[in-house]
Order: sequence, then structure tokens, then C-alpha cells
Amino acid sequence: MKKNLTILLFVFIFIFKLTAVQMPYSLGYELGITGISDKQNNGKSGVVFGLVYTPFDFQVMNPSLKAETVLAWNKTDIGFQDYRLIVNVDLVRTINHPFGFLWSNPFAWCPSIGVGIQKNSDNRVLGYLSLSPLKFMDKDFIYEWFSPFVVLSPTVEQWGIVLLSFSSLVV
Amino acid sequence: MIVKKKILIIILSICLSCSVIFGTDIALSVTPGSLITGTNYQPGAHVTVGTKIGLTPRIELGLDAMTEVVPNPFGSFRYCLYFGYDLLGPRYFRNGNAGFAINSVLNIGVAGLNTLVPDTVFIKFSPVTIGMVAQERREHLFPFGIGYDFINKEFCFWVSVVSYDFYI
Repeated sequence: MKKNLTILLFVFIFIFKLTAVQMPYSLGYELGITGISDKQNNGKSGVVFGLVYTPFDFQVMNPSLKAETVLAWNKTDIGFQDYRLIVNVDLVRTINHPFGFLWSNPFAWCPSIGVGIQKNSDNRVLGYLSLSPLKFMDKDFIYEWFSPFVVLSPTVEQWGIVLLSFSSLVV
Repeated sequence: MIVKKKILIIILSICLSCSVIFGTDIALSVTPGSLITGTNYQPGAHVTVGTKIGLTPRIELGLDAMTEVVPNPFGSFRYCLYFGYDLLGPRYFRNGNAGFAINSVLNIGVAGLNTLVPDTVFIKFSPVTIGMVAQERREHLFPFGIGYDFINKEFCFWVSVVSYDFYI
């Protein structure tokens, strides 16, 4: 299964790279803080590590790709438990938004939705849906605040919120 | 509980008075993600909002409210009352000049879970802050803290990636 995910990741990157518009920076890393709850309402804290690929520069419906893993822990357990491959679509990108007071420099607001798959620690592959209403970016950085997500099988297996995610595009 | 509310209102009134008298600053603070350990805290994620009132150019009085968002939204409530000291220099100068844009802040205070009676004393440290009053915002990068819960007789740890102050 891990091999399949790796192949899938490379296929995505290959297709994206073939069709990409030249961007100053398109590949970067992601760091975030999250909380995860399962069906039994057991909580876990977690740190999100990921790779971000944003090859396009569309004002509307701009797609990007994320590969993430979560280092999660509760009072008895710690470990990398979830591996995700997510296609995000920025619905719109604008610098004329009501959140300008948050920034010293102008940042574009680009609310997005994400669809993907997640491999759990029990090796099951589940569906993944996310929403980032407070996503902001400039050419180098992406900030996302309070992004809820659900993991589906097809009922809700997990839910949570990525409270803060910071991505830096470096390549 | 009514007496405690009165005490809280008196403290806030004194702070606001000091702020007005000394012409200092008021900030709203938001910490979007906080991770905390301790017997009384469920693993998950917490959000903190609060206010900071400048008593002097280097000392702030802060009152924060931290609530659980995952797995039980608003399932717990924790308050923190603390004094913060800017280690590297003032946030602003009394002669009107802008203050230190890069700073470090040491906070010392008390906290209570689901009640106004404090159960924890803590030290919180923001190793790097970027911004100042003149810019109307300040970011605290990687703030972390350690507290002693004298009810459960244990240490608890607190960490976040960033905390934002918006000066009003």
C-alpha cells in the first residue's frame, strides 16, 4: 500500500510538472498544529509535516498538491499515524478582502477545499475532505488557520482541525 | 462566584485605568493552536484568546482564556492571568519613538481550569517577537511555558507555534 501511495504521488507530481505554468517557487514544506478526534471522541494532539506543490497561478480554481503525515500523541501513545495525499483547490484568490488587518504586507486570501486519501495506522485507506476558509498566501508563504477536516469510510472515522498551518515555498 | 467575578472586573478596571492614565497600549491576542499536557487536559487542541494591557513601556498585564476545540469544542475553559516583561527593550518609548521591533517576552502568572480559583503557577516565554505597537501588531514565535499544578502536584507544559497581538 505504501508503494502504491508513493507511485501515486510521483504520478501526480509528474502530471502537474508537465502542465505547470512557470512559478517563481512551487515546491515547499509545511508545518502545522492539529487536533484529531476519533469516533469514540478520543482526542490526539498532533504536528503536521508535509510537502506542498503549487505549480499553477490561476486566480480561480487553482489546484495544488499536498503530501502530509501527522506525528500524533495522546497520554499513552505517540507516533506517525496518518499519511495523506490531498488535492487542494483554491476557489478564488484576491487581495481585496476583509482580513487585511491581519498582515503588515498584502497577502492574498484564497479559501480552498481539499479532497484526498489517508492511510491510517491500521493500513486502511480512507477518504479525506478538508476546508480552509482562512487561507492566505504570497509568493513564498502560505498560512492556513482553523481548517476543519473529516476522514471518511464512508462514515466519519475521524475529524479534527488543523489550527495553524504554515507552508514555505522554497524551490 | 459573584465575588470572584467582582475581583476580575476590579482587576480589569484597574488595568484599563492604568492604561488610560499612563497612555499605554491595549492588545487583543489570539493563539490559534496550543498543545498542553497535564492530568486535567485531554489530548487534542486548544485555542486561546485574550487581552494585554500595557502598564509601562516594558510591562504588560495579560488575561487569556484557553478553550478546547478538539475533541470537545468548548469542553474545558482555562484562564491565565499574568504579567509580561519585554526583555530586550520597551515596546515603545515615552518620547513617541517606536519601540523594539524584535523582542523576547517573559510572562509569569497563574491559571485556573474551569474555575476562577487558580490551580497553576506558570512561566511562559516568547523567545522571539516580531512587531511593535507602532505597527499595531506583534507576533510571538514559538511561545512555550511550564507550569506547576499545585492541586494535582504535577508539572504541565504548554507550546504553540505562533501567537498574535493586535494593538487597538
